[in-house]
Amino acid sequence: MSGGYEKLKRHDLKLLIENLYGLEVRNMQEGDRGILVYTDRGIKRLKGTESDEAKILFSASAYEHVYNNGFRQISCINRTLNGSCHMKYDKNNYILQDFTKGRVYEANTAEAAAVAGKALAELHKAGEYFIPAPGSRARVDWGKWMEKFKANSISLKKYKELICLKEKKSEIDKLFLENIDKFLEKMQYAHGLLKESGYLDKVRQSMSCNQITHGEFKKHAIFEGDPEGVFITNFEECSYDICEFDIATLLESFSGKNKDELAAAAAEAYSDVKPLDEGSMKIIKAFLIYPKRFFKVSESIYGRRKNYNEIELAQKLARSIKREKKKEEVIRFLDFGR
Amino acid sequence: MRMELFMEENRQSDREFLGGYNLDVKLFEAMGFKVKQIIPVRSVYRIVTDKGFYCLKRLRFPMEDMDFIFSALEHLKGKGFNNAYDIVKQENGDDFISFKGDKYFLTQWIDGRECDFMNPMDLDAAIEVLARLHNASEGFAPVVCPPDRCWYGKWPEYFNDRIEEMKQMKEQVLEKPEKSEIDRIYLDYADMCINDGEEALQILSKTDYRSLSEEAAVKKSFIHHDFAHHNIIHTFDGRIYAVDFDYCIMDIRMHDVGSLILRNMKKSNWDTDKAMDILESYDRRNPVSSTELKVLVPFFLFPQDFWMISRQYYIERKDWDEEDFTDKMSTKSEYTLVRRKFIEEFEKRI
Repeated sequence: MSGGYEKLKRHDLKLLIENLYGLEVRNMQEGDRGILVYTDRGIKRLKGTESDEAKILFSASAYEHVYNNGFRQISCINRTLNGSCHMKYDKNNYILQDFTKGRVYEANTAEAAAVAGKALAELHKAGEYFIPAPGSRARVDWGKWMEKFKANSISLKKYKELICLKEKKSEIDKLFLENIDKFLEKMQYAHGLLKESGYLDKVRQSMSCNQITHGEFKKHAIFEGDPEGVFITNFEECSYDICEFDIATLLESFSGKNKDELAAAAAEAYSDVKPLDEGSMKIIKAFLIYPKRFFKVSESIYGRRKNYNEIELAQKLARSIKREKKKEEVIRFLDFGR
Repeated sequence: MRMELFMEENRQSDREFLGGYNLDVKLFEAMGFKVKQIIPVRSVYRIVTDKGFYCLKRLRFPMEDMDFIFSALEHLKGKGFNNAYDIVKQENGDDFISFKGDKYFLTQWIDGRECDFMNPMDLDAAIEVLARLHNASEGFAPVVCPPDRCWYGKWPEYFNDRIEEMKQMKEQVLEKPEKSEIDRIYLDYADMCINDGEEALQILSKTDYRSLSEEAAVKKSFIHHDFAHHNIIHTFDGRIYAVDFDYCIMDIRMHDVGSLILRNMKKSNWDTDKAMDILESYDRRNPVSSTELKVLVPFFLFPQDFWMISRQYYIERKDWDEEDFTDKMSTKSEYTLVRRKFIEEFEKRI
């Protein structure tokens, strides 16, 4: 194999897949999102994962749960003949899924955005009352956002203080200082908004119905499906959380000049299936306002300092500031659109 | 056996411990079932058998310690505390099974998710379990209490020992002709940490720690001593379990409460509001006296993390990745600075 999967030996893999899954492998080809495996039962996609067995089991059972609950625009993780959800090769874990043809979904019209919004609502409906298979390690994000916003703003304040003490400031430091106050304000506002919008009540509701969410519902997770539908991928990162997090991620991923129009159409289509109240809209707004990219890059510059590359990080910081700005149009829709 | 003042999550030691398991079909045959699957989970194995799911643990302590732990669990159950796991007895009625020089035991497998202290609902539920555990622990009279399991009144002694160790390690590092990155971090913080340790000892001597310990000894209460998020399991049908009582000791309850606060502080960037929320939540269930609150100050001030990571590196010489050690040493050393600020604020508010 070449590219990202160059360490894999084609023949070994073929035998392994055939033995474990009871398939006849006819050909294999490396794609940009894994290895395409042409079998007697259709094309499969083999994907490497850093998750351990217990985490894979969690997402595999989530896939099966939403699928069995009627959400069919998703491709479950194939199980081996002995029921396992993954295969091990050269100490790494891999999962096998049915391959879906199609391109990344272009949500550039209100109608297309509505399709994505509706699909998300249906996925959430199917994701209620999810109890994972025994032995799973659940990914849980319930209730953590308020605290996370606060803790992260404390970190940024700390970095600001440290930079202010520096006699000689680097270019990154200057860029950081130029923007930090504005972002700290946003963080505090987002935290306050979560607090006053009944965030914890939403968490309680979500906990009471064991709501599973996608966790990364952005552009690349949505593929063109049937003539008018979409197909959802990357559900491996699914977690227990409130639905508003996924909605915010979707709205944020819209690009182009009509972002606000797309966001409005997606939210409306979502609400037709799973009604969104005022509290939900405020929570979505809080997620959008929170400058997660700016925080993430700042954290790698001043916090973890791992793989520190000043030029690269300065570019990343500048990019993050631009992207935070781009969200403002979507936020405007939430202020005036409804 | 070495007991730590408060327990740290340590995946590396979990892996080392799992490596020592002598898993063999004959072990499971001796236990009377057929094993279908064995999955490592932290320092235990989840085993899927023809008779159901179990948690397999290897004894890591001498028998008298295990007797102490098992009788503590029995005691809690007897007092109506149903949030702990059950030991699964062997066919001959024993709690353990010996196999190739090791001893193993089984508990029921509790399937669920780990508690998340960032979730206020989870944290509150965990505090409730802790408060009830402390109440239920009263009146515990084990047949034998290993000396290392009895901590009543021993904080000054342990503080002292650790301060001495930090001093010894400092000498050892100073003597090195060439200093590594870790050595440099250690030397940067050693004096500050030794001072903090000495100050903690001094403050402790001015509190009513002794009388609190005496009261706890009269009540015969014990503590969990490793009340970390991964030792609190929420099942998907809404029950909560405290697991892993391996480190339980006879001590004042503020030890558990203080550790819980510290664990949360590290995640919340030393947010004093959160520390106060935890205390209030515990106090609602189990009223806390002002005397008890004062004992928390030296507990927080003592540089436990710094001492522990340095000990693991310089004394125990753990065979861990150097980069990992450097990261840990750096993070834990920095706690020394932020902890002081936090304590200042905390003292004002209690």
